[in-house]
Amino acid sequence: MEKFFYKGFLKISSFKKTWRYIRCNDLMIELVNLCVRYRRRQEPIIKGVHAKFKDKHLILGPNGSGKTTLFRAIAGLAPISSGRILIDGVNLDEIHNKPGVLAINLSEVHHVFHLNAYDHLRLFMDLTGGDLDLTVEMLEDLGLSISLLRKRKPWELSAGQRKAFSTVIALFSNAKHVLLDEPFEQLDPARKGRLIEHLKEYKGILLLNTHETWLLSTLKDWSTHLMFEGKLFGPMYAGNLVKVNLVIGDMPDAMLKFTISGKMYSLMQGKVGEPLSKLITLDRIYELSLS
Amino acid sequence: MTLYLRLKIKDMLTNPEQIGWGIGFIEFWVLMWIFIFSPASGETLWKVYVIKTNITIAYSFLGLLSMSSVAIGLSYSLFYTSRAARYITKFTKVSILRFIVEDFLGSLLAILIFALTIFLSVIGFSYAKFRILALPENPLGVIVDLVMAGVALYWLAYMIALVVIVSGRTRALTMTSYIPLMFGFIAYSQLWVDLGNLAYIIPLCSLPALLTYHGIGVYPPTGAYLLWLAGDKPLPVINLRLAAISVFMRIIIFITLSLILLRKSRGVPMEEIRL
Repeated sequence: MEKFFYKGFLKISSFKKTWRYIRCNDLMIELVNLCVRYRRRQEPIIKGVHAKFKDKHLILGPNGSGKTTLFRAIAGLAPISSGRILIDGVNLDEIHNKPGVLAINLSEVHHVFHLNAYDHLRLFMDLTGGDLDLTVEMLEDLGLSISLLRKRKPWELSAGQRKAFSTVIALFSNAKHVLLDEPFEQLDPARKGRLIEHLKEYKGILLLNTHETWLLSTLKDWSTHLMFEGKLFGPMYAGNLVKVNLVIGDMPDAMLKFTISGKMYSLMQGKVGEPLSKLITLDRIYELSLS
Repeated sequence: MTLYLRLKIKDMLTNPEQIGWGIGFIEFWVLMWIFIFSPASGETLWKVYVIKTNITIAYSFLGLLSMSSVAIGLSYSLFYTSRAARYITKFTKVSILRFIVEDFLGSLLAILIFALTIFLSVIGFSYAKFRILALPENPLGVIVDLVMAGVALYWLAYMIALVVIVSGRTRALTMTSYIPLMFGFIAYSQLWVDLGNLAYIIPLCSLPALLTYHGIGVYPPTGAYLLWLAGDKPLPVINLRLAAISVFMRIIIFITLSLILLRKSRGVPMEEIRL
């Protein structure tokens, strides 16, 4: 088998058989006509999404647009009603017991026992083969000391601390794909700044969802999808979206058109409309529709 | 021992609710049984035998109640960690089989520690009152019975949590998680009520008979243990082989149903848990 291990291929030691050698070019998450709904008669939350995620991606959408559900589906935590998810070319349903493939920062997956946060941190570093010392270093950089983690259970941390805790575990899980769900939510400005620096320096594949449009000017070279009402639009470079204005209505020269609650919106360059990056949060899109 | 298993045991043994209901609450009834409800000390051989039987019945029934109380916490913890379990078995080095085995072993060990605490306190307090050391006739048999009770209760709790998850009736957890304790109290009712053949059918009800047999060495009845202890009236003797088969069958049914339900489960989202 070793003769297949040459430039262009990545060896994943813990993988078995077909997983052992995979092309670096195949490192991506692919969504094929993905629909997700929690109950049979419920309207789908994710509606026929097609996308390929390589490198660093932003998914920008207002609250309730389905961003977290999309991430849950990619992590195998939400029922897929139709379509499929391929991670590095392998169907999600066929992935079991594969460390190093994917990590996510949802708090619910990092609460296992009725024990303190430090025990959970030790557990996840042990299960994923992550570096505990480096993780502790980054947590301290984000204001979470070991003494605090030893004193409190994960759910006893403040909302911002909890988010930072899960984000750091995900980033240091040695995974090729890291999904970060609203990592800046409820973080104070100083921690936001430090986390952004860490994300810029991060070498792996990152998929980050947020409703905060100010990130567009900070993460200019990231590929960006917009998400509204369970549908993905894009990709475009974040840097290009900084200069784009949001206009209510069907504009002929629009870069992108989408419908929210039956109302048409257009993204276009020029002086008409509201600059997307100045909205601060995409939740304001609903306010605009009322004005 | 893996870190997961060590933390599982630590989790079970340091959880204040588990300690409160599994030990604190039951210890109260141990004290009541020994110091309030039990007869005065025995001088004759017959009285010593009655006291030993009384002590055996005490640790059999109260030990089972303690284990049933811990099983409530088990249902809750399995429910709350359902998402984490799915993620762990998909994207970490823990396989589904290893997760189930380690979770089971950790929980079983903790359940047994709770039951042995009750057992030792019954023996200790009864010695303090009667100066009679009522050690079991067949200690290995008692341990095997306790292990069987722990296995049955673990898989019953697991099955209940999975039924709630798969059916999507997450709000029913508060009610359904008490099912092990309800069965524990139905078994406890055998102190006064003779369940007859129902003792083989209702889960957990044949366990006190096995524990009593291995504790004192005589064939107990199918119920009404206090009447039997008083010796007022002859009662039908339990078929111990049938009682053991009944426990084994329960365990097999609980495990089979749990494994079937596990395949259908995807875990419960945090928002639904907080409803």
